[in-house]
Amino acid sequence: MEKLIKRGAEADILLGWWGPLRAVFKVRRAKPYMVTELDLKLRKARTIREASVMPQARKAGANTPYIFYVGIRTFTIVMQYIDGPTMKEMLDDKPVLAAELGRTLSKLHSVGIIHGDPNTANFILSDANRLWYTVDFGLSFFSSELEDIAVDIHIVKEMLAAQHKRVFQEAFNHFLTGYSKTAGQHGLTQILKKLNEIERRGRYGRQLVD
Amino acid sequence: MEKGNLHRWVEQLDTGMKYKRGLGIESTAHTFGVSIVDERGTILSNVKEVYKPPSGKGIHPREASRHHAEKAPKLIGDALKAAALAIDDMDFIAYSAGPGLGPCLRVGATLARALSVYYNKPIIPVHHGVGHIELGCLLTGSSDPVVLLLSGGHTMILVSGIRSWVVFGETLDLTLGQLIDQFGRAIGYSSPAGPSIEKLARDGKKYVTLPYVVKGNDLSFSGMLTSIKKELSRPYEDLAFSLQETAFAMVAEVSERALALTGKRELLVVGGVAANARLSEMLNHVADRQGAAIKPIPIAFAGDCGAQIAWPGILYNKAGISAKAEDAFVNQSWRIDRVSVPWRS
Ligand SMILES: Nc1ncnc2c1ncn2[C@@H]1O[C@H](COP(=O)(O)OP(=O)(O)OP(=O)(O)O)[C@@H](O)[C@H]1O
Ligand SMILES: [Mg+2]
Repeated sequence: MEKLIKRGAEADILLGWWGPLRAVFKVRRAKPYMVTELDLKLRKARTIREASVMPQARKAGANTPYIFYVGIRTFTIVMQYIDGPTMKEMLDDKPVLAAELGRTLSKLHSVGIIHGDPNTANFILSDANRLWYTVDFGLSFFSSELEDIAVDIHIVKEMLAAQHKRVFQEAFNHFLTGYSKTAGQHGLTQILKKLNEIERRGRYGRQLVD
Repeated sequence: MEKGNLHRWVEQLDTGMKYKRGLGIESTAHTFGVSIVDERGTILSNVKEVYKPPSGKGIHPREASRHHAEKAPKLIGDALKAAALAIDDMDFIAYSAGPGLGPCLRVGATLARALSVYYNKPIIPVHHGVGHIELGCLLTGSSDPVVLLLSGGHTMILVSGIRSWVVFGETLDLTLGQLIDQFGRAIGYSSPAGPSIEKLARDGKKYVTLPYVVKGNDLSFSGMLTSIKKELSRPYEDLAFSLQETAFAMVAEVSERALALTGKRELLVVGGVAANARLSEMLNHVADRQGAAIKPIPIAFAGDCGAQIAWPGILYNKAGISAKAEDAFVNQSWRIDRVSVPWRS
C-alpha cells in the first residue's frame, strides 16, 4: 500500500511500489478552494509539464528520478523513489552545498529549462549513490530569456533569505560560485544585472498611480 | 469616554505607573489616520478620513495630499479627544515614512515634525508594511506567523528574519490591489475598487480563463490585467468573478507553499484586500490543509489606519529607538526587508 510521506503545496507524495521497485506517487489532488475549471486546467498542465521536462533535465546533466508511469486523468506521476535527505535539511549546517544548487540550475538554464521552483526542498541527496537529484518540475518551462533566468535566480535568493536566514549571505555566494562554473563569469554578470533590475522593479518602487 | 478616562486614571493610581503611549499618523495613500496606542497594546483612539477620487479615476497624489492636509488638524484633535489625552501626554510622535505617494507622505511627515519640535517629543518613522504586520500580530495574538501582506502597495508573503521581516514571495509586477483597482477603473469604478469588485463577483456565473502565473513563491498579475481588458464585452460580473478566482487562487497557492515549507502554524492576513470574504474562504481551506490557524484581523483594522503606525512606534520606543525631528525622512520606495525590526529574531 502507498503511504503518504509528504503533503506539498501542490501534491500529495506517497511512497509505494511499482513492481519490485520503490516508487513515489505524486498525486495532484483537487483543491476544494479553486473554481473547478481552473483547478483541472492547472493540474493537467503541471502533470504534463513535469513529466515531459524531467527526462530533458536529465539529458542536460541534472539527475532526476526515472518516471515509471504518468496518469493524465488521475494527475499522477509515478517515479523512482530517491531515498535521502533534502538540501533543506542540510544547508544550515553546510552552506557550501548551495554551490551544488548553483551548478545544477546553470546546467538547466544552459539548455533553456527554467525550473520555476528552485527550492532547497526540491534537491535530494541520494543515499544509494551520493548524487544530488532535482525534483518538482511542475512549474518549469522552456525559455532562454534573460528575464526568466534571472527570475529563477531571484527565487533562489529570496528562498535562501527566508528559509536559511542564518547562512543566507554565505550560501548565496556559494550558489553564485557554483552557477558561474557552467554559466561563466560573463553570463553571471549579465544575470546579476537583470536580477538587480527585477528587485528594484518588483518591489515598493511602484507608485500607486499609473 | 469620560468613564474610560476615569477608569484609566484609577488604574494608573493603582499600579503607580504611567503606561507609555504615543501618537501615530498614517498618510501613505488614500487614508489619513491618527491613533493613540499605549504600551499594553490598548488602542485608545483610531480615527481616519479616506480620500475618494472621482469615479473611474485613480488616486491623484496631489489631490489626495490636499485632502489629508485639510483633514489633519481635526483628526489629530479627534484622536486626542477620543483618548481623553493631550499631546503633552504622548511619549512620541510616529508617522508613516514610506512606501507611498510622495505628496501624501510629506503631509504626515511634516505634521509629525511640527508636533515633535513644538512639543519636544521624539519622532519615530515607521514603515507602512511593518505597521500592517505588527498591528496584525497584536490584534490576533500571532507570535511567529507566515504573513500575507495585501495592501495597496504590497503583495507579499513574509516570515520573520533576524531583526527584520524577510520576503518569502512577492509580486513581480502589479500588486493585487493595483490589479483590482485598474480593472475596476476599466469598468468605471473609482479606487479603491475592492468592495465593488467583490460585490460584482458574487453574481458572476461563468469562469473566463485568465493567465495564472506563479513562479516559485512569486506572482505576476500584469498578464491577467492585459487579458481581462480585452474581454470587456463580457458581463462584468463574470469578469470580476474570474479575476478574483484566478488571482486569489494564485495567492492561496503561494500561501500554502509557504506554510508547507516553513512548517509555521499561523497564517496572518493583513492589508486592505484581507477584508475580501472570498479570499478569506480560500485561505481558510489552505490553512486547514496545512494544519495551520488562520488569523484574520478585525475588518476595521485591515485597511490603512493610524494604529498601524502608533503600535510599531511603541515597539521602537521600547527598543530605545527614535529620531530627531530634523532627521524625519520620507522614502517613497522603502523596502520592507531593509527595515530594522529589533524586536524580531
Ligand atoms: N522522487 C522522489 N523521491 C523522494 N522524495 C521525493 C520525490 N519527489 C518528491 N519528494 C519529496 O517530496 C517533497 C514534495 O515533492 P514536490 O516538490 O514534487 O511536491 P509539490 O507539491 O510540488 O511541492 P511544493 O510544496 O514545492 O509545491 C519534495 O520536497 C521531496 O522532499
Ligand atoms: Mg516542492
